[in-house]
Amino acid sequence: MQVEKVAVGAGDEVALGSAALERLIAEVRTGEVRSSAGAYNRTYNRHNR
Amino acid sequence: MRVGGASAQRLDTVLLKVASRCNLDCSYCYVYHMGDEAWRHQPKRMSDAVLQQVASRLAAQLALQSTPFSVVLHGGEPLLLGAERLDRFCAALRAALPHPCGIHVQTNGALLTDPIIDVLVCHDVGVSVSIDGPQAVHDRFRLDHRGKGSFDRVRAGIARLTARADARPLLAGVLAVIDPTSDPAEVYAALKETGAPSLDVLPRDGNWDRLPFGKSAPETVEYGRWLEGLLDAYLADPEPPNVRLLDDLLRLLLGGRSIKEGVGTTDYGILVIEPDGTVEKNDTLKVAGAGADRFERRWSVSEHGFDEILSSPEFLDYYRQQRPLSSMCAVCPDLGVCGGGMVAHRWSSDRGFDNPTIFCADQRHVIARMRGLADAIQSRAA
Repeated sequence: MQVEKVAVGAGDEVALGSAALERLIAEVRTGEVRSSAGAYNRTYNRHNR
Repeated sequence: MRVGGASAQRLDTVLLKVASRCNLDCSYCYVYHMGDEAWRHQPKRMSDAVLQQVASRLAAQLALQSTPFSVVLHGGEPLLLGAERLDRFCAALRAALPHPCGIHVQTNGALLTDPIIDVLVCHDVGVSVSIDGPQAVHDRFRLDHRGKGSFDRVRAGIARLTARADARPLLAGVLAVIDPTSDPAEVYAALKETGAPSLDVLPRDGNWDRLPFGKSAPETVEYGRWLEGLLDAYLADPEPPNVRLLDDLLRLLLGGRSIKEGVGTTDYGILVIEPDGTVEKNDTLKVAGAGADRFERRWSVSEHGFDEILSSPEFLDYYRQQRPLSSMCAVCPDLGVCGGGMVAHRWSSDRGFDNPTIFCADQRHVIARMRGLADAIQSRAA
């Protein structure tokens, strides 16, 4: 089975500079996943529902 | 995850089914409309006596495993407890599970009144609200028992929560079930407009015997295209909230880790406690058929500690089940990202769970798009 990927096009410049990706890159770099709410810093709920 | 050198696993998330009934009657609900009638045989609400046993068993497990875990008040609709009983339950749970253990409620939001919100604030209970997007999308399936759309009531409940400075930080997220015929950009905008810091989306339930709504064949990518549209809206947003599913997939592609089940290859100890105190597997397994979420042995908080349950062979079989069995998954280059998807969505009557998820093509579609972005980022950084 092959790795499939969609080549990045000219229209993806916005996506590559996006705030969401910058945030995720920073999280991966530090190894931290930031809490999604200011005062709600606790164990994650893993359940997918 | 293992506790010490023993074979017992750790708890990550406990779903506490404090109410077996719901004030809504969403047509796609996996609890009431996927063929499992077990809810009919449960008490309408968990009793104080059972809750005390639950709290005691959870406190003992916390002392044993040290690692904090989360309890999610779930249902049915958990806020059917009413403010007084909810207060008693949350007080007992918080006494047993101090911070940083998380106590959450997954609610349809229609019963978020000020007395209920007072209780949630008092015990620091995080709130996630199910809302499917703009009114036309939401009211198509999220109906009450008279067939009336619930959007206005749900949106009013969220507004009551976010209007209060003491309660607003409790809103952890909103959760939408995907209608693949809807416009993902409109759904993204409607969810963001709630003010929630985190959004999440779920596909409609289904399996290889019973295709999910809107999916015409296993190889088609209606959900994949919808998720790609959501990704486009997300990445174009200069002030984006978190989007839990997309963040998990992207983080894995960027070399990081995921945080929810059904994504990546980390396994989690998830258990459900029914209103009568019976301990069961992940309730989403109901999607694979009536009773698929039950252990053969009846475990109950009245008789068994979690250490005994977590170290039982049957629990270990259930835990290992998170890893996909399918030979297709074993050689798939996307396995490390998709993880084989939700176990429930792998089911077929002839092969059991020995299949890729029914959303395999959809997941590979959106992962291919993300992989292109991740590669471009990494080559620019090199």
